[in-house]
Amino acid sequence: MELLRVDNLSVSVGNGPRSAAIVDRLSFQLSRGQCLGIVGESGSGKSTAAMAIMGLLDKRSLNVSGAVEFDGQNLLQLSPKRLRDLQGTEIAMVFQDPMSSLNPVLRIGDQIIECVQAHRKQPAKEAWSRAIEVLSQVGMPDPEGMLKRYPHQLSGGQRQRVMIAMAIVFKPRLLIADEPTTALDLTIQAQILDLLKALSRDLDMAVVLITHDLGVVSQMSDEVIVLYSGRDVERGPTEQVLESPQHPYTIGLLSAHPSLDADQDRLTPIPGAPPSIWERPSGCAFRDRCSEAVGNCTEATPPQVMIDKSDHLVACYLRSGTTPQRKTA
Amino acid sequence: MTNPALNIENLSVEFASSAPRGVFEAPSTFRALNNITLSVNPGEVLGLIGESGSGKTTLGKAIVGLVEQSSGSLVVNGEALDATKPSDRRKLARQVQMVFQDPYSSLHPRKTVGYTLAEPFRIQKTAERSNEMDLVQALLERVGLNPQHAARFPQHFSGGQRQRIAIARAIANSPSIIVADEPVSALDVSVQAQILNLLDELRTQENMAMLFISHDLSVVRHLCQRIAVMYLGEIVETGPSKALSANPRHPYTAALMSAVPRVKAKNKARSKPIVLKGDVPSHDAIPCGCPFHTRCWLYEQKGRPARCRSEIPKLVEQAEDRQSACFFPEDVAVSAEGA
Ligand SMILES: Nc1ncnc2c1ncn2[C@@H]1O[C@H](COP(=O)(O)OP(=O)(O)OP(=O)(O)O)[C@@H](O)[C@H]1O
Ligand SMILES: Nc1ncnc2c1ncn2[C@@H]1O[C@H](COP(=O)(O)OP(=O)(O)O)[C@@H](O)[C@H]1O
Ligand code: SF4
Ligand code: SF4
Ligand SMILES: [Mg+2]
Ligand SMILES: [Mg+2]
Repeated sequence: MELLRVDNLSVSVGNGPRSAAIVDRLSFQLSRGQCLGIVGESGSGKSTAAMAIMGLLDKRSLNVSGAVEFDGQNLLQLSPKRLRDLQGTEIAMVFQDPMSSLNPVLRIGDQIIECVQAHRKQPAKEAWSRAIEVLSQVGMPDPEGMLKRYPHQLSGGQRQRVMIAMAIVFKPRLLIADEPTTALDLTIQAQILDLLKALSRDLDMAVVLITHDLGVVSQMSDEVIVLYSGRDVERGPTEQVLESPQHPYTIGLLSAHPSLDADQDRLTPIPGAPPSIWERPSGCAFRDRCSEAVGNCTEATPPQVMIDKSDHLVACYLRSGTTPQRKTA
Repeated sequence: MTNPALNIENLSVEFASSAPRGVFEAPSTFRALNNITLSVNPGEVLGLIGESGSGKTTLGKAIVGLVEQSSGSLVVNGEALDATKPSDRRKLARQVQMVFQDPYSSLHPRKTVGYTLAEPFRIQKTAERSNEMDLVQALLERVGLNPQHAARFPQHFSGGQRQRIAIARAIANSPSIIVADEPVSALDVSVQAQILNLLDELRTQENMAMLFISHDLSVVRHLCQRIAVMYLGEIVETGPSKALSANPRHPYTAALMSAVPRVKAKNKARSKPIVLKGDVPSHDAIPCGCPFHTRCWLYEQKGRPARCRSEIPKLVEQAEDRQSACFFPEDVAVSAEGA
């Protein structure tokens, strides 16, 4: 059943000719229990998209357009009060850096209780036992002892478990995790990914997992979206996209990183670096790094086309067989 | 035989402990590095891996003299150097150079790149002033940057380009060895490969030796000829990179390798990762016996042998140029399949 529908979501900064898109016409759907991976390099717009979906962007400084329909209601048009009710109960978020989202001078227990009581009037005692419950659910050793500790007395992995515990207090139907394991060690990353998988299964929770690691996507997500310069350049069922990538950027990403199981003499890097939002080239944003660019790639943003009539979509002229339309404006 | 570029023996580093203590107790210390012995040959990149806090950076810093070693010896290109002696410090700076993770903070923002790159020649008095500019331009070219850009300031360069500049500065005086601490971790994947190729060129074309610290095992396996694995301030396994990654002889290495999220290969079932229990213990409470036994899956699988709790396994030489600090090195690769 469809839980989340994102339709032409765009986020831009500035006005008129002095404006630039951070997220450009992003669309996707997500059902309960499903995991969508969003991959991209730094600056590609992953966090901005996540914040936009959560309704956490400051609309005074950023222009947000499109629709984010959660369970039939457009989050972008909800009253602030109704939105706050949803955030943290039905929709929850986990960030990359657990230390900056925890209050350093409050004990873990008090923070979880505060989070419980912010949404539901509950006696402190009940909230305390709920805190113990969620901490054991995220696999925290000695949950009762942990409640009395301060954030700096926890390891990075334990802090991330606390963040996940707070996120699942109300058994949300949607969890948005923005690089939840990027700051963690490999072995701890494996524990947290395991945990997210189990929670998604047990709570039938939909997960949007943001990462820059294609390996993590391959392991976790059913569907994947590859973001480049705020644009969704390729998407589809994870296995299909990773096994037969179609966009030169996706292909480049996959071959730029060495494999643990195969030998390569020399890596094939993508030349140059991702452009800032103000420096994107016209037409296909990837064109000055693309070895296959042809003349018409400068003309207009390539449209998304289907690969073999499947859910695998790619935005590249090489795959569409069409020549781009001249810009009319 | 040529000398190793770097040879360290029984190197230990102690830090003041932050653990709470009673008023009458003397300030306690803990060993961030415990009896590290390793060597790197010219033309060889040794990869150093291990979890956060295992002591990788501390080892790198001890080698360049940025932290003081409490015991042990350091021999660079055949010459014993003692970082506490001022005369040796200068030699050390000439022979051992470090490249750091963050290319944004490691370059002086108000000095031109040309100035930054000329500095090593001035400090070591290895070039005439008149010759400096040519050398700087050659360096820029060597690391794949436009020699005309010497007059620019760091903010005009991207992260990857800054890392090239940091590498140029490190190789200016042809040191015996470079210590590179996570040099590509802050870079985007698409840019990392450019820097890795450059480092590999320096090794093959100029016979450079390097200690390469990283938490990305695929990168380490690709770039390095040998790998050393650290756990709680000790080396627990070393060996040629391909053999060590394919057939680990320490359960910790096996767990690390299996925790790497891989892009699934076609028609290949994913082997289940070995998920280690809990966190790395703190340096103030290193477990008795084998320091890894509190998280060791092989220990559990073997029915918790008493020996693992009572005796500290030493790093023992094995066939095929390998070393392991586990009592059961032969059982690791076989048992990992079913772990
Ligand atoms: N100057 C210092 N004083 C006290 N303790 C220190 C100091 N520097 C490092 N340590 C401690 O020594 C241990 C090893 O730290 P080190 O930075 O070498 O780890 P690392 O392996 O480089 O970790 P990472 O992967 O996070 O970079 C840690 O417990 C750390 O807290
Ligand atoms: N409020 C803002 N004002 C201006 N630029 C912004 C703002 N937020 C993000 N950006 C820019 O948008 C781009 C995408 O940012 P972000 O969503 O954080 O990317 P990611 O999470 O993929 O690294 C970056 O270039 C960033 O500098
Ligand atoms: S549209 Fe053109 S420039 Fe863009 S990825 Fe395809 S070939 Fe390359
Ligand atoms: S010695 Fe024992 S506890 Fe230590 S790594 Fe080997 S099996 Fe595990
Ligand atoms: Mg981000
Ligand atoms: Mg370090």
